[in-house]
Amino acid sequence: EELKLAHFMPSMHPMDQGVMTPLAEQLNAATDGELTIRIYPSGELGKGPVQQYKRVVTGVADIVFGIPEYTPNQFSKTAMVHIPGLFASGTDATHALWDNLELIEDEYAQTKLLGLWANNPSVLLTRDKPVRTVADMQGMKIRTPNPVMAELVKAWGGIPVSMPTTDTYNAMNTGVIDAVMIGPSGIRSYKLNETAKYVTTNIPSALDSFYLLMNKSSWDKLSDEHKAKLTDLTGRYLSLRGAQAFYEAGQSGLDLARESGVEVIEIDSAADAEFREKMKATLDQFIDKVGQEKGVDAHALVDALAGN
Amino acid sequence: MEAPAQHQAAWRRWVEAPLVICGAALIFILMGLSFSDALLRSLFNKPIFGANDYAQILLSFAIAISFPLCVMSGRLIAIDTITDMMPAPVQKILDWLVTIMGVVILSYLSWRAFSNALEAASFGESTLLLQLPFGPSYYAVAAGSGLSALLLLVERLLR
Amino acid sequence: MSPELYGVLGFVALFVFLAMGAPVAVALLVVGFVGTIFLSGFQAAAFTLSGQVFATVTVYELTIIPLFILMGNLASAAGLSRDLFEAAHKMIGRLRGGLAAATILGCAGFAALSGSSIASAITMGKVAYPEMRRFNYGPKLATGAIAAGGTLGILIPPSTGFVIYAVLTEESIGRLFMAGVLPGILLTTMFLLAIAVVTFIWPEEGPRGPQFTTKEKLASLLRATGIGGIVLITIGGIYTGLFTPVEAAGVGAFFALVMLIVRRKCTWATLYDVSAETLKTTGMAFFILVGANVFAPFVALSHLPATIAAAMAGLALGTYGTLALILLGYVILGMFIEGLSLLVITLPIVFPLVVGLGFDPIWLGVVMVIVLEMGLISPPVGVNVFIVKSVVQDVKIETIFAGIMPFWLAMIATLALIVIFPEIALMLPNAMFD
Ligand code: NA
Ligand code: NA
Repeated sequence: EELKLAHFMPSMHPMDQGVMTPLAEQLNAATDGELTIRIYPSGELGKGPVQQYKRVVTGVADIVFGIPEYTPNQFSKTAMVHIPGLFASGTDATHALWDNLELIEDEYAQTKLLGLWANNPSVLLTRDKPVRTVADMQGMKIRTPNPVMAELVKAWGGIPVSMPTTDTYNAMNTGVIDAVMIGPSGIRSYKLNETAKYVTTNIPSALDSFYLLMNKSSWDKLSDEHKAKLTDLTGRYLSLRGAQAFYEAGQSGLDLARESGVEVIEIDSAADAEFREKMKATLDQFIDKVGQEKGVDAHALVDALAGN
Repeated sequence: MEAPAQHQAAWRRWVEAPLVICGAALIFILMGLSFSDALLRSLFNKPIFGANDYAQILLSFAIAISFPLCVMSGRLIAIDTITDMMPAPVQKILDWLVTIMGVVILSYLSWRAFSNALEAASFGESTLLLQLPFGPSYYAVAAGSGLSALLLLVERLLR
Repeated sequence: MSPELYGVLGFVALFVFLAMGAPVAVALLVVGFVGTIFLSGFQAAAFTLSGQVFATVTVYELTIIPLFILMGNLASAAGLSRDLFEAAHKMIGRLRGGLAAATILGCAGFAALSGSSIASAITMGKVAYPEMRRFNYGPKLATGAIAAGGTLGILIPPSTGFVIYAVLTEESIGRLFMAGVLPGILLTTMFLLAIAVVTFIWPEEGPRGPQFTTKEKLASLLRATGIGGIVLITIGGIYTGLFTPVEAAGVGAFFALVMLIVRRKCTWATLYDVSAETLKTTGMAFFILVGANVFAPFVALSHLPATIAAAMAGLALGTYGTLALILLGYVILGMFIEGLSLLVITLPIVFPLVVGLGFDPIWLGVVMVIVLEMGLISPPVGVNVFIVKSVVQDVKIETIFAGIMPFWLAMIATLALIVIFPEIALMLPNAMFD
């Protein structure tokens, strides 16, 4: 029996090499080749991240890797884990998700949840001006990946710019934008080390979450033995490996930046406090809005995730 | 498939004109959006946040409109080298076969896009930044491919 | 039945439908949809069909297609394109095949604006073809030059082909762009040589024009500053960071509209015609893209690319033998599959294989893009040829394919030169980045 696993990253991406390919190998070994996973990378079974959730629900693929952020209405509670400044690392965030799974699992009711993890908070790559304090960010055109970060960049005095990730390399090179906010693993993927002079690593910024979901009826069709084997190899165990793979890819991105002569900056605690102070009102508003739309106590959810 | 070069039947003008006018509006808005976003960002530091999202929606509507216009003007590209060498009756049968193929697949696409439109909200399908819903765009694709199927059939019947 | 066998049957069916005269988009949609039913079930096929169509018509980067088409149509309506060819005609029209040479140079210039071969072929087709016909050029040379020249769009940076290659392989986009420059110039030169050879053998394809006085030449150059200005603003804007290559399409179209107004040619009737033409051509291009994107998942599900790559690795042909076989495979697949989809489907298998043989990954990117370009202009599924055909209604598609031949040979020669002298691709990126 062969399960089709679809994702939209290149097959050399850390998520394929560090999570999906090892899962396929382990499952193959654990079931003596009775149950296997075939990976279809690069959007071979369908273009782009937007429809990944739909693809798994409708059975275009048996298993999909995807990003909750791309279907924000479906995963608005999960998205609370993205709240900037909550977690220092993707591993912490991943534990928080699994410790509080009962609060968010209704968002995964249409599928079988195999994995849910986070990467490390975004770093800020700047073209020719270092950012050490909020003041340094004034008037900077910054490519931001999502609406929340856009609001924060505004609150910090920057100018949020939206563009596809693949265009950021050119935009940084020519000066269309002054800076880009991106998960540290993106440095290597998009070669942003070639375009920046500075990278600030610890601004209280958002992280992204990722899922590995299985089609319900594909899951139901498995024998009890195969279900047990797959359960052993997924869940929190697989998710932590996802977070670890992102951590390593992020470190390797920062190393690459250092090697290319990019100055790595860490802001001090005073600057950190100032960033947090300036973003507080915006964040509260955002959490209120999600709470109203979903009819849940979003602040309580954020507190639970943060372990308060 | 060559365009029927003879008279431009009056009904064609009536189908074409509203499509062209709506499509023109969309494409010129797309042009203006792209131009003004670049200008506002570079010269005034005030980019239109989420301009890409608007562009995606505008593009989907423009393409949906362009499909039937393409069919009506006979611009669906085909290779007629081999069919041209066949006797006329065979040509006619093949032409009917490929027309039916086109009508069926485009009608089915239209139906699928229509069901997708109904479900778009339940899958949370929207643009990334502004969360503009994709439902209306699916309706547009459904209408565009449905009209294309209809026109493909009508053009064959009139030939 | 094995998935590979379904894959082979799918290709056979595609071929049969095309031979029956089915529209290319329809054949791709039908085979892709039905093939996916066999390999993945009905529900999956149904969602792949509409999902892929939708995913294609909502790609932000593809806004450049309607906008560059609009720019081309506005430029023609304003008479800008005509000015350019008047100038080219007066400057080098004296030479045999001079206007075809001007077309290639125009394409190379446009390629520096646009990352897409389709946009290049459309714009130059609109501009160059009527002019070449006006000066009695043969339809073969005229259309061949446009279709071939258009492919320069993905070799000379910026290039969507390189961006996709870089994202798939994690190579440097900047290095790839730099690596495309010299091969782009080389290929342009080879195209010019091909024109010289063709017009030497068949002088009637590209007749000599009359001689003009220096004053006439200068006057025509002055008039051509209109379009020259737009090109300069657009290229300059990209390189100075005023806008992105995608936005450049919108900016270019805007300035073409301004010229139309300035030259007092902006009437409602003109705007209607320009819009109708833009939409029809856009529809044609997107029909093909949509078909290719529904067909691609079927090919992936058939496991054909993986099986073929594995078989090749098993043949033990030696380094250059394997490379030659792979490139040949691409040339053949490129005849049937749209280039960028082909890259996405095959690169994950081919890249490790070729790099494992010891070839430079940046060099491979350049070689791949040239092979894709060949696929864009080879029958039966030559996307650029279809595009030119959509712009040039009165020429038969087989005439264009015939006209392509000399340029196709020029590409083979360029490819051979780059394989023998990898420095052509690697000199600039190595100089700039190390
Ligand atoms: Na280009
Ligand atoms: Na081809």
